[in-house]
Amino acid sequence: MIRTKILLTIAVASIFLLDLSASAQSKPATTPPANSKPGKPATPSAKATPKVVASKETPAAVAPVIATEKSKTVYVVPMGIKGKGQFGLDIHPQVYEQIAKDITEKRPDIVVFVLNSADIDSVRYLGDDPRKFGIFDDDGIRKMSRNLKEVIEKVGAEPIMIVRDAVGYSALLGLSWPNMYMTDSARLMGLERIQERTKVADPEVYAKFREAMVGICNGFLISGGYDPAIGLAMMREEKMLSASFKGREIIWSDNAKGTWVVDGSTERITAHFTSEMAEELGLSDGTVSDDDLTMIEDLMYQRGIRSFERMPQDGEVLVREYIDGWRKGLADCAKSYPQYQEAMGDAQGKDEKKNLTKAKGILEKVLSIIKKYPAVAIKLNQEFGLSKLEVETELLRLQERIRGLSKSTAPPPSGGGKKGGGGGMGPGSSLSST
Amino acid sequence: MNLFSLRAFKHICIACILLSAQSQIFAQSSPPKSAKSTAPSKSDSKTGAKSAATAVAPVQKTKKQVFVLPLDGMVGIGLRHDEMEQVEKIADTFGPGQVIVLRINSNGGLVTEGDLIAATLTRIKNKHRLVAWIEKAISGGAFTGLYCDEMYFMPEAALGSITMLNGATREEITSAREDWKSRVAEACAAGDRDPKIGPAMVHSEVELSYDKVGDKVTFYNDYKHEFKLSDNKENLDFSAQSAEHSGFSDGTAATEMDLYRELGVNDTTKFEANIAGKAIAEKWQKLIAGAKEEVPLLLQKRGIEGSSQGGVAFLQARIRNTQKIVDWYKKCPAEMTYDLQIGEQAIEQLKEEIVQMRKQIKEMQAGSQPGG
Repeated sequence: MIRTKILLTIAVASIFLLDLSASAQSKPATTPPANSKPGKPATPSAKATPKVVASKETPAAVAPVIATEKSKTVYVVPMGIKGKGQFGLDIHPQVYEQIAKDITEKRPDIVVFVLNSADIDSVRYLGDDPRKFGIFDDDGIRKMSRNLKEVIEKVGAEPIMIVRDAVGYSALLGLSWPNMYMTDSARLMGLERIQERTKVADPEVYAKFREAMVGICNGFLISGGYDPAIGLAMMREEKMLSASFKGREIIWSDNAKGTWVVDGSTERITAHFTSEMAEELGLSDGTVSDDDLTMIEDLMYQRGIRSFERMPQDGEVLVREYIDGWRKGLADCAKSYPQYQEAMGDAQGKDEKKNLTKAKGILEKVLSIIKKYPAVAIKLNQEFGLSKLEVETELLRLQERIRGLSKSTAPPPSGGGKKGGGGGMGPGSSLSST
Repeated sequence: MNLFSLRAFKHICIACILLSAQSQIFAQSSPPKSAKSTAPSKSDSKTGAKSAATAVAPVQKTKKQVFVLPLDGMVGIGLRHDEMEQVEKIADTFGPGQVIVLRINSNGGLVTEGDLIAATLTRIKNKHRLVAWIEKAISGGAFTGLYCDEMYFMPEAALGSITMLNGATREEITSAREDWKSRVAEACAAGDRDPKIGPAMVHSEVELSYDKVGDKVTFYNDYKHEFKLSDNKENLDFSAQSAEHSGFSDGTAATEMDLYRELGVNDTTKFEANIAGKAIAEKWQKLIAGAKEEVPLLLQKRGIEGSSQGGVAFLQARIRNTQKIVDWYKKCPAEMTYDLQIGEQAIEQLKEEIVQMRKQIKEMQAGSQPGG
């Protein structure tokens, strides 16, 4: 942060010296301009980044430092929080629908997404727990992203993405917003995971699946104004990536012939970015502090916004509530299984009906949690092999058994139905291991 | 062109299913009862689909109607010609020259449905202005889009990967490859696009590159020209960027309003958005979602409901639940067959089971009556 502030000071001081002509822009290739993404129009705020070359082009960008400027309202939206950033679960369209409504109501000036979602800690997905890997429903995530963009545009807010960490499919979200910053220790990588979805023996079908997946994923980058060659190299190991500089423009190539080689190997390496690389290559607009307390302040400073006010009830409240909610729901489901088992075990003799009713109540609670949180349904299936249908089926069995007990004169069952104590949800028995 | 192998292939109904099987299905052929028109023009907006539902003669309208038909899911299940036909009928009531936008989001699906879609779209575009708006059009989804004369991409969109495969073995149907390449080339030509493009989406060995001078684009089935789209190991997929640059698409539109502007139908004095297409799609999607939710549970209920009482009560409950499954099949056979794995043969067995259970009930009831 200190580095960037110093740079900004230099940038502001240099405006009058450097605003001469385009020909004066000779600069080392290793310091590309920030605003170099293809198709990305120059925005005043983007030009206010603390880079000498950026600021020299945009003297007007320092206008925000004027003390009389109206304070900007900032709405922060976490996408994953520390240790709880599983893509497709903690980052699920369910909560971002709420966020979209909240943004519409509160109409902030700036919306800052803070992405913190890493599948893994190691680089090559070795030794990490696959149950913690992100789950990618491309339709759901694309709709979520589109909806947020549409809402933000409607309220006239400025969207900014800060990547705290993005390893796996979450990298697509990081790259789907034109104004992107990374924190000092952030990573942007892991898109080789698409290979899980394209494994098939037939080479023609493999090519079909691979190109479809690359196309679907690259759509996120293109919508953010990034060159698809970047995504290609992040997804396909055999693809290379380098960048060349033509004036202020960065030309990305899917080969190693550029001035700056990001991925020069055709073997098992995919392109990945640290915050430093991303900034130097103009992929990110800058690097901000890792520190939660100063990150937003640092960002605003870099964008030349001196007066801002973070909204007290912003997306952080909703996201935390959601993450805590579904995770507690999952824990409750896991906890309730031994209780259910106990009730089923006790469902005999004079207390049979009472205990069956108790077991039924427990399952109804599990079902209501599943219905409330799709993430719980996904996780119960992933971790315990328990589906919503299995819970519903077991409930039907219990209801039928209770009904049978209520009719003392009822004849014994014939065919079809299962009746008997104990047992219950077969696949769910693994719940007891938690 | 060896049509025989392709036809034979189609007859055995091999599903050309891509990445993941999606869901969604089928069609009532009656227009929506509550469909109303909305923006671009909000005035005079209640005449749209509602009047179309009952109209016989064309309704006199000064404003052209703009229909958006969202087509989500597997081709043959969620994305079908039936909904296109429903919109066509409503559009016809306003006279020729209405605007029909197909918003496509599909990973592909049944090849057999592709033929029906091709015939339907060919007919529609002889009367109306037909536009594809691509969110995701893979395989059969792409094939559908190719038949539209105008095409716009959403910024995130992808279109391509039309290789025909056997959904069960996940292997290419190599015997059908050449026919399929021709068919996809024909689809390109039908949408006034260069037929050289299509085969590169079918077979990885077909290369594609192009030159661009001013607005004039020339495609080549090689990898030597200035702008390279697909080498000899890749299956062609267009992004919004490559589609627009190569002239494959007419432009990029993120939102409906953007699209209306691009199409030049945002003048509210001349055009009116008609929500009939959306209403038709919503109704269908709701139906197939209902099948997906309810049928697996009905299968369970068959063995459980009434089991505590046994005898006639159990059989009656089983008949009721079995009949509901049969009814679902009538409403959405493709969803039942391909998504829920309950095909025609299974349904026949269930029907026979109902007959047997009814007999059984009669016998039980007769047996329980006092003799005389």
